[in-house]
Amino acid sequence: MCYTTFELFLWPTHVINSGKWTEAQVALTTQPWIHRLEHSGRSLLHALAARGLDQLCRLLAFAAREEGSAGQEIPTADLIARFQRGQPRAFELLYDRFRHYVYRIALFITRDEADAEDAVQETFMDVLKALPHYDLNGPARFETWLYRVTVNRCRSRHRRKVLPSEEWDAVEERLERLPLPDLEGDPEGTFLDRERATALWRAVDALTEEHRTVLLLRYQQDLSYEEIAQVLSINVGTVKSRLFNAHRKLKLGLEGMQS
Amino acid sequence: MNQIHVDSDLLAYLDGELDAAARDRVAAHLASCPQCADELAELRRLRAELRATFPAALTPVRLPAAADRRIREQLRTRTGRPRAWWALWQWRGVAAQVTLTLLVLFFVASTGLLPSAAPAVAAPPETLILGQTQFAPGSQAALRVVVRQPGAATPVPGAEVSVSLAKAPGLAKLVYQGRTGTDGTAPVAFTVPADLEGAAELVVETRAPGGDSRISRPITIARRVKLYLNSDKPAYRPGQTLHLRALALDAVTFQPVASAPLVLEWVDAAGQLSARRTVTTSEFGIATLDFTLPATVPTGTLTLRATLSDTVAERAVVVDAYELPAFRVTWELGRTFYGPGERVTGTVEAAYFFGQPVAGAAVTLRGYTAEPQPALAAEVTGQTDAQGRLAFAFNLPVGYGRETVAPQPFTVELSVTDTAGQRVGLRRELAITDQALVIKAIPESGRLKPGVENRLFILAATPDGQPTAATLRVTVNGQTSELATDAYGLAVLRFTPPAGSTQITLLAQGADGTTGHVDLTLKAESQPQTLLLRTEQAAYTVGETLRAEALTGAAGQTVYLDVVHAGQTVAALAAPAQEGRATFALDLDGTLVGTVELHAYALLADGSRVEDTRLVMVDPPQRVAVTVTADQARYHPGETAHVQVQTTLSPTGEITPTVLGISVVDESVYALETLPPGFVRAYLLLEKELLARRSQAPGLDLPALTSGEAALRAAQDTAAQAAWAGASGTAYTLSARATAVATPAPARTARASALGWLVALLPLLLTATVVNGLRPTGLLGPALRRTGWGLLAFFLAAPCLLAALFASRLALRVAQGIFLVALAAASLLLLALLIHGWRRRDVRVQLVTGLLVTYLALGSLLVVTTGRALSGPLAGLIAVAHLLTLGALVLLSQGLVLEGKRVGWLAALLAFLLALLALWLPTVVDSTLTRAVGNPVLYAGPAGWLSGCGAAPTEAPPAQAPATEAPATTEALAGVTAAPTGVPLPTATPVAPAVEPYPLRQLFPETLYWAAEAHTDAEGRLALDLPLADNLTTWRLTALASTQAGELGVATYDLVVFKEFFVALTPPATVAVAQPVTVTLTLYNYLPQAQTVRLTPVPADWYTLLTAPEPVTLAPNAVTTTTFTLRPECAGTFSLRVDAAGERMSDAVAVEVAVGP
Repeated sequence: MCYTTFELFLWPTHVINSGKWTEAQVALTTQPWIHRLEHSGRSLLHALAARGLDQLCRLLAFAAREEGSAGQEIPTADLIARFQRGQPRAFELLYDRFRHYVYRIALFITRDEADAEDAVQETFMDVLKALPHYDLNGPARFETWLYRVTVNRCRSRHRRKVLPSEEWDAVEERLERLPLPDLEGDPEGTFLDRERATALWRAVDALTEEHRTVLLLRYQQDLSYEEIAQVLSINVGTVKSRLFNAHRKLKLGLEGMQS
Repeated sequence: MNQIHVDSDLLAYLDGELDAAARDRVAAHLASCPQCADELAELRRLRAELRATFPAALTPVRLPAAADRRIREQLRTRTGRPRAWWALWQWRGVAAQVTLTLLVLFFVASTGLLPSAAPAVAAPPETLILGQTQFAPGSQAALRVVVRQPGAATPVPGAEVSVSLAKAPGLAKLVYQGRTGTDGTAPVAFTVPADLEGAAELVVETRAPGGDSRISRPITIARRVKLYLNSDKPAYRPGQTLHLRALALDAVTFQPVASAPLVLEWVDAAGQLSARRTVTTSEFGIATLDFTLPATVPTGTLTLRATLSDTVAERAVVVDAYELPAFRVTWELGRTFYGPGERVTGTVEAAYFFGQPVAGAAVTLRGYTAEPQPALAAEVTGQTDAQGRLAFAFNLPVGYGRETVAPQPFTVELSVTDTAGQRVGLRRELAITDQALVIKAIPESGRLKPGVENRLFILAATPDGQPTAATLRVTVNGQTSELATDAYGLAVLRFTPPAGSTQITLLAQGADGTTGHVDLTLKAESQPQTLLLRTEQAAYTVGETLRAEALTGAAGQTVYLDVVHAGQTVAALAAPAQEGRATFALDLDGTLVGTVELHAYALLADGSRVEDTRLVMVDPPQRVAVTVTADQARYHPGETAHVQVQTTLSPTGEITPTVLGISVVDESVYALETLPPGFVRAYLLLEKELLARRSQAPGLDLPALTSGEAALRAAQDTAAQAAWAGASGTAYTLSARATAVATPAPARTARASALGWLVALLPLLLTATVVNGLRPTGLLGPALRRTGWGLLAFFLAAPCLLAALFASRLALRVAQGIFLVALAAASLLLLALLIHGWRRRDVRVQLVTGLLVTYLALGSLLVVTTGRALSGPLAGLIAVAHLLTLGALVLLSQGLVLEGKRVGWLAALLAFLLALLALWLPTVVDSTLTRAVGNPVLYAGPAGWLSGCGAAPTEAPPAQAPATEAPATTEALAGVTAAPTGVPLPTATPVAPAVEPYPLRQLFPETLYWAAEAHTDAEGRLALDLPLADNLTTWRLTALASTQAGELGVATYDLVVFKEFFVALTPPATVAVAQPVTVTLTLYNYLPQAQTVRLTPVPADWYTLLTAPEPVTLAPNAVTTTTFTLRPECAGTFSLRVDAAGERMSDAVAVEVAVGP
């Protein structure tokens, strides 16, 4: 996605409304020299204590964005860095990027819509509080850190709830409504059988929270063992055994269901 | 074969999370263990299913919108971002671009470049200008500028008026900026720049809602001077030395004109320019020159001339081989006019110049009638008494002068011959008429102004023109009133004349019963409107307030009053006429000394004007009082007179050092001098025309008018008003009328200033862009440093560079062609930068060039269209902003160069070109803005800024000071000798004879002493030791004093040289070789006793004595003559000496005798 300033102005309204607009802006305003420029601009103009000039500087920064290096994905680290340099807008962009992931984790763990929403809010509040001190050069990815916060938040909520919510049931129902597989298009037979998937989901649901979380991180969030270990604050061996056990119990559960 | 199952590692194996050793182990086991292989397959399937199921189940899960909004809101309150700003921020880019485009379009449209411009709302007004084309540097000047609607002639208030003086195109100095008042006139008053001289251009620009106009007229800026030229004597003999002194005063300030080249020359009676010499005036404005008249100079009137710039002063002296009179004759007549047949009575008095009366002189008086032909009508003879007096009487012919229109002249010739046979003759004309009183009526404006109250000066005078007191009976259009004239023969009648003619009958009766009668028909002015200007007084002193009123028939009209001094309008006043009367007040300061002309006028619809002019005299507040005292009442020849000259300022009595021009001249030379002492001041204060007008009111005595005595002055004031009534004054040499060019936009000033602000702010944006663009690359610091060093180097060199540029006048006289070439070069550079920015994807350069293009486009628009409407401060701001632009460009160039982009140098070159273009801009478009942006001082670095950037737009540094020490150029040198500027030595140095028992008198100069520039000490004192020559006469000492502040004063003093017995030797005028010559000896004896004198011509080689003089016996107070004869033997100039040995007192005299072949 390479935009020149003038192309941006040629965009039709629906593109702008679709949210691509913000993405494009973000893409254009995350170049390193722009960060420095904005930062230095701030320090320069803060001295003048003039918010209007600050805005002017932003306008400049926007207009002066460099083209050609904007990738598909905006580095999360850049957003964090911008937030840490005092741009509150960057946090909203982080939120935009991770809100659904966090919600999925929260709903999966808490199985309750309201709890999940609260967990999301609490998570992001925690992140907002902790992000200024987040070490970008640390060993952990931001995602693993975010999921750990999420998981911790959810665990503290999950303990208080027993029954799954409607939203959680809707997840299972969605699996039941999966379209019939196109047999010819899937010669290896790896297609997802509607019933098999539902059964599998039920088996997952029957697992302990510990095992479900490991599976979620592994198969939904696609984390490595190492990352899972970081999210859950356990060692890799435990992750390995916990995953093995989860699979074993899942297999047993499925067999039990079939029998 | 390893039989230990590896099922717990299988998942990790599948996920690739095992280390190499474990992986190999598992792989080996799987190859051998079908159970585990199955397990692996099953696990793989499960894994694939999970991988599909989890996303299928969870990916559609999204945070519900409500929750999303709630959380987002929560986060925003935590991060504290204002929502409105956020919304704006989303659209900032578009908004910026749209705003810029709209702004450019708006300004282009508002300047009328697009056809969609609004139609004109007001008819273009017209501008009228009245003034003079002559200006004096450094003086106060004013200009009448009236902006009004043509046709209805309604004034246009609030129109902007700016006046500038331009020495060369683009070097205009804004001298006035303001707005017209409700009367449509702007109070244009300004000081003419002191450094501006020569031909220049006066530009008047007006901006009114209906349109603009620009009037440009050539003017001359030259120092105007008043010159007073005087010589030591009024008459010269060929071969004598003429001492010349010129006093140059500034016509405006009356300050001495110092260090000015003054050309002194003389033209002989044959009209031949005989000598010319340029003399530099001293700090007191005095230039002096002595030259010897050649012996062959034609006799007649010799014209002395002094020229300083355009001012010429002339003075005529007589060159003649004259004989000085032996004594002075004065005669008094009872009257200077007589009726036919009346008896003329009078007295004659004769006195020798050394003070003794001429007793026993034979007096012959003859009277001649002139009409129909000269005829002897009366003869009286007699002898003077011991006091040298004689009373005489004779009757006039009965029929002569009766019932004639004009007085008939009656010439009286007087001849007085003393006992020594020396004769002096006089002639005088008497007026003979039966009309005893002459009555004249002078309207105060020269002509009657109908409809307003006029003053009519009525002068009663004797037939010879002497004013006299009389009672008057005046009948004006049937109405009779009684008046009495004052001591100067003047009465003032006030009445309102109707249009057309006015019949005036004047009957006068003098104190002695004489009567006069005159019938007058005075025609009133036939202008469509009346305007009469009246001042309270005719003469003022500095510090007083001049009050004038203008009477006009029309009500509510604006009356303009221009005050003209030294040919230059110095104040332009305006007042509305209320009840037919407009009043003005003007404080008179030192710059108005001299003749001040008041021009009052009202403008008519067709641009013509009704006007009236009054002249008043403004006297300096102080004058120099000169007091001369001598140590003795009388001196003997050869003695030294100790004379003290004391100068003080009058009336304050303040002591001031002055410079004196002192001449000590034999009084007998002053026979022709008629000008009274004190005339010098009047001569310098009054215009020539006013001096000439003295005859209109004969009672006017100029020295008295400027004297300090209040009563005398008040009486004289009326006389002056009468004398100067109707004087025309200076004409308006600068008169222009222009109709404005219609402007379409009524609110252009506001738009111009908005555009101005935009143009001033764009450089800020530009600079911020450059700074922020360089900062991330880390090169801002080095670039700033490089720029700083570069600027420092430039600042050090800039003043010299600019001075050199201006010295060569290269930067100013640039042709428009060169300007266009520079403009093209700058455009090319800009284009190159633009292309570089786009091709190299350098957003900073793109942005900078974009801003620069916008800045230049809007700036050019501003300059071309509405720049003249800008105010000075905003123009200054834009000029500073322009500097900022240049600085930003240089900074960018250094940043780019540091980044290894050579295109940076193009930016630097562009900055240089933009500076040059700005410098040249005033030569292309001249306005406040271009003058501010193109002010060379701006580019001269801090040195230039400190030296006057904050002041008004300044000129170039003066290229070269005029050479003040120019060597005197002599074009024709006929006996010219350089004049000493200090106190010269007396021309006569007595040589004391060694052995004679009585001093030999041999030096008889006519000018005893001449000092053109004698400085008093700090107390205003000057002590003179005057070694007196051998003349027996009265020396008249004239001291003409002037101070550095321009105050003047004059005094005369008589030094009497006398001896109780002396002999005068008079050889004939022409003496030839071998021709016998009779030499006359005149002996004067004022000893109380009689004495016998032995006369001995001292023998010499050059002559042979033919008959020796007889001894003479002289009674007391006797004057007698004797002769002797000699024969010159050779040609040449020789001394002839005669010793007169008396019993009680002796004398010896020697004279030069020129013997021709």
